[in-house]
Amino acid sequence: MDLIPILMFPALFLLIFAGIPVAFSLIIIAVGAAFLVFGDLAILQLYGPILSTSSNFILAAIPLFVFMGAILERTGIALRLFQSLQIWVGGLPGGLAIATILMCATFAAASGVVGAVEIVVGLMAIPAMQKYKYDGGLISGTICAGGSLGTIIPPSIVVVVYASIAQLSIGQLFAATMLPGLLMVVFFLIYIVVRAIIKPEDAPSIKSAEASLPLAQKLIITAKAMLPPLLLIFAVLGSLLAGAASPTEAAAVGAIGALLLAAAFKELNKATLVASLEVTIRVTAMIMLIVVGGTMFTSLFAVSGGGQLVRDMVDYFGFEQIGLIVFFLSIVFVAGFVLDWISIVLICIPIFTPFIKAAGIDPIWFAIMVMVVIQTSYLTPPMAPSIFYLRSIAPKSLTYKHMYWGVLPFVIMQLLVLAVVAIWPGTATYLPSILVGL
Amino acid sequence: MVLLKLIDGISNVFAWLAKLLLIILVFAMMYEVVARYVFNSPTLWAFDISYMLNGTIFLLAAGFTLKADAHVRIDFLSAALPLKLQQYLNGFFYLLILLPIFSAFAYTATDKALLALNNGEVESVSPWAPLVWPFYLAIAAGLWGFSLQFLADGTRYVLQLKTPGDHNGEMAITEDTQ
Repeated sequence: MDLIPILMFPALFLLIFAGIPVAFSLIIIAVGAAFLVFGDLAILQLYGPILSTSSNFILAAIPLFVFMGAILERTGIALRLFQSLQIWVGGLPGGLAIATILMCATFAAASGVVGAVEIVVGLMAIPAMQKYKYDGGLISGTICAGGSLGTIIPPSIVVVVYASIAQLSIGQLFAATMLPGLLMVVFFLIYIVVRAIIKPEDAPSIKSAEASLPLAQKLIITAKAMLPPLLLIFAVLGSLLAGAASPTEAAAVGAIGALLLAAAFKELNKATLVASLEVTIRVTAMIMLIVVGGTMFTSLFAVSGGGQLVRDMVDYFGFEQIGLIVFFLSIVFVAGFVLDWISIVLICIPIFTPFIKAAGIDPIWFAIMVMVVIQTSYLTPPMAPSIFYLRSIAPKSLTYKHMYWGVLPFVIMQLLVLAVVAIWPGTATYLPSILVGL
Repeated sequence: MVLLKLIDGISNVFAWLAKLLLIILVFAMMYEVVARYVFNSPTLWAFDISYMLNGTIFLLAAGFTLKADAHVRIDFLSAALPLKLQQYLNGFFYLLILLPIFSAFAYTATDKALLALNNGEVESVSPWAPLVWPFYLAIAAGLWGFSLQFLADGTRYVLQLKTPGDHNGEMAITEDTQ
């Protein structure tokens, strides 16, 4: 019986790398293991995760956040934002790259979908940066890193799924991601500015046409571009953090807000609406099915003796708190090379959580560190969603070499943020502790 | 061939239902927020409705998502295999493993739904206490549709009418943007 949990992982990776969709691989292995453990009752037992996932109140926030992002990405909000940001930061060293990161940060805060942010921003920022002869590596790195911000800046689907798996409060977890998310933006910006100062030819500053406009006019352009997303961010995060709305309700507020904004700018039509609905149900089904598969897989892993296995391993190494954290985060980091974030959360977190609790480690703090590490999984090849997204929109002149080398400095910045959060847990735990009503 | 088209049709109809339910979900949640904060009279049903709609959307859209090949694959290794082998591999798993598994789940779900219908079972933890059979039935319908789509797509892979990994998960967003 002890052999089952040991064999589950290699069998899983065999299927995943054979190109069978992750959700199906998880389910197939779980069903196989369930027949060995439960015999004829296997299907009945595994129907449980299907029903419980379908009935999960927290996960109902997913389609709403995705829908909000899907509507937003189809409006002109992004373009106006990018233009207004250029007015203000275009003249700085690496100005366009700075505008790109700021833009991604704002968009990530207004939407919960990761790929959407990167594609929307990339489509505008790549041509702009290429026009000014930015270095290909820097262009790639900036777009990919900016895109990855969606995982850590609330509202993030990663947080929703993580909270439901680890049974933490979504509100607290959102609050906890705010400072580290901000820190991440600042670190990215520092890297860009420093590089632009040392090697100006990599990231020349630009003179945007609007920069010479009178201040009042600049402010009007900026207000028109910045206010809509800021209002939306305020409505969603505000209602959530004030404890006024559950995540699902806050997400609905965001979805309605996005619809109203699109309508106000006369950018809402039937085609946009239908396309947004379609993307939303597809992404929802995709995520939910991995949640089902992950739940089946990890529960079978636990039932067949996997929990004991991990416990023995942890005992064998004799980890203290710090050792345990380093060990778990290393697993997440390495898994990030080959797995997507949702599989990582679904497979690792249920297995880690009991140990984190038992060792007396603050689960919020640990969650934030995991999420920072998960963010690197977006950038680390070969399974690097951000690079796939970039490839799908980038011109041929941006090569894989640009992309792989370009993301490296940003991965280092992410690891620096991890170090900061690890050394000063307050960066994660302070905000949730002062925000009441969560 | 007609059968495959028919199955695609079912998945499309389910997807349209899911889109409709998504709109209802948005407005139902908004209604709850307004009812609670503006009229100070929270609804009894918002909590149950939200998860039931989400679960229904998920399972109704599962087959459609399969048809679009949008269940995320990690294919940087398998893409190097000969195309035919990839197709047979996927066809094998879809037809001989996943189709039986999901049919069994669908069968179990139908069983539960019928049982709930006969017993008039209600949601026990909710103050609203809705009947659960419509939700259970929606799950069963979604799972049957999903199973059928495995049959259709598995057949397509074996007949080399479809290439695994043509669309990659959320990547589908790209086409809609451009």
